[in-house]
Amino acid sequence: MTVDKTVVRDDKELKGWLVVLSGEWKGKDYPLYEGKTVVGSSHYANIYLPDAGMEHFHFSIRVRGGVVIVTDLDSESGLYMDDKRFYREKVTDETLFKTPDMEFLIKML
Amino acid sequence: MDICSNCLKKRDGEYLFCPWCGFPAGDIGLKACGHGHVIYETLKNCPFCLLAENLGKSRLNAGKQEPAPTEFVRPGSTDNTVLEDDPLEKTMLEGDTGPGLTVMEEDLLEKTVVEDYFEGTRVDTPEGETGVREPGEKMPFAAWVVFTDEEDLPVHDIRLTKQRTIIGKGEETDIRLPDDFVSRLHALIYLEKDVFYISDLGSTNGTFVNGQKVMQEALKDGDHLRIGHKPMIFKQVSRKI
Repeated sequence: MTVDKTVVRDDKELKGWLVVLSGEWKGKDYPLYEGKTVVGSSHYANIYLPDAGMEHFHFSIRVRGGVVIVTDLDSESGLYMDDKRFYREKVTDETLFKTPDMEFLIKML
Repeated sequence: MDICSNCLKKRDGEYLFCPWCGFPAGDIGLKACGHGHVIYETLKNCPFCLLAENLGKSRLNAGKQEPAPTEFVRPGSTDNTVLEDDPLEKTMLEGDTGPGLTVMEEDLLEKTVVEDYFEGTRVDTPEGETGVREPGEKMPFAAWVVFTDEEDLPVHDIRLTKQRTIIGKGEETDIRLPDDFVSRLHALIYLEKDVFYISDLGSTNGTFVNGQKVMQEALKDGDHLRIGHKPMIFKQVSRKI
C-alpha cells in the first residue's frame, strides 16, 4: 500500500519582502507573495503595522507575474515617493517609498 | 610531509590526490592564525576563530543554562505569528495521526515529518529575542538565506539576524540542515565592514557559491549558494537600516 508522504504546506510562492527602514517597526521585514497584500493598522490587514500615522487599510502591494504595484487605498496621510504623493505606482527591486511616519523598501527575490 | 588543503590531515610522501579525502594535492599555501589554526594563506580572517568566538557567546556553551524554546514561524504566514512550539509537528510526533491509519502508516508519517525539508531549516532563536524576523541588534542590513527547490523556486526564507550565522548539521548551529552531505559545522556567514562573507568550516563536501567551491568569499545580493544538497539564494538589501 502506498502512503502519501506529502506534508501539506502553504503553497504561496515567496516573491520578496517589505522592509521597514524607519519608524516604530524599523528593521522588520514582511514576506510578499504572489497576489495582493494589504498593509495597515487594522488586525485584518495582511501586514499589521499599528502606528498613529497608518490608516486601517493604508496601501496594498500587488505582485503579479514579476510586476509589483503599490496602491494607496484612499488614505488621508498618503504615500510618498521622492517627496511626491502617489496613488498607484509600479515599483522595482529596492524601491523606497514612505508614509508620513515610516519608510519602506521593496526587496524582490 | 605536507598537509591536505581540504581535510587538513598530514600525509607523508608525494600524492596527486589526498589519500584521506581525494582532494587534489597542489601548491595551496597554508598558514597558522594567531591561535594556531591551520588556514589558507589567502584568508583574511580565521573562520575557526570566528566560530569559536561565536560559540563562546552561544547559549549552548554558556554554562548549564537551559536551552531556549525553539520558536517557529509557519512558512507562508504573513502575520509573522511566532509559536512556541509547532503544533502540527507536535501532533504528528506524538502519534496522533487521526483515525484510520495503521501503525505502519503512523511510523511513515512520523518519519516524513522528521525528515521534512522545513525541519532542516528550523531556526533556534536565542533567549530574549522574539522571533526570526526581528532585526538583530547589530545588523545594519536586512539579509536572507532563501532555500530553493531543484527548479530554483523559493521554498523557505530565513532572515539573518546575527552577525555570525553558523550553518551545519550539528545542534550548535543557527541553521540546521540534517543532510548526509552537510557537515556538523559546515559554513559560517558573517558580516564584516558592511560586507557579508561565507566561510567554509573545513566541511567534507564543500561550500559552493555560484557553482564554485569556495573557502571564503564575499557575498553579493542574488548569489546562489549550495551546502550539501541544499541550494539557496543569498539576498541582501543594499541600504542600511
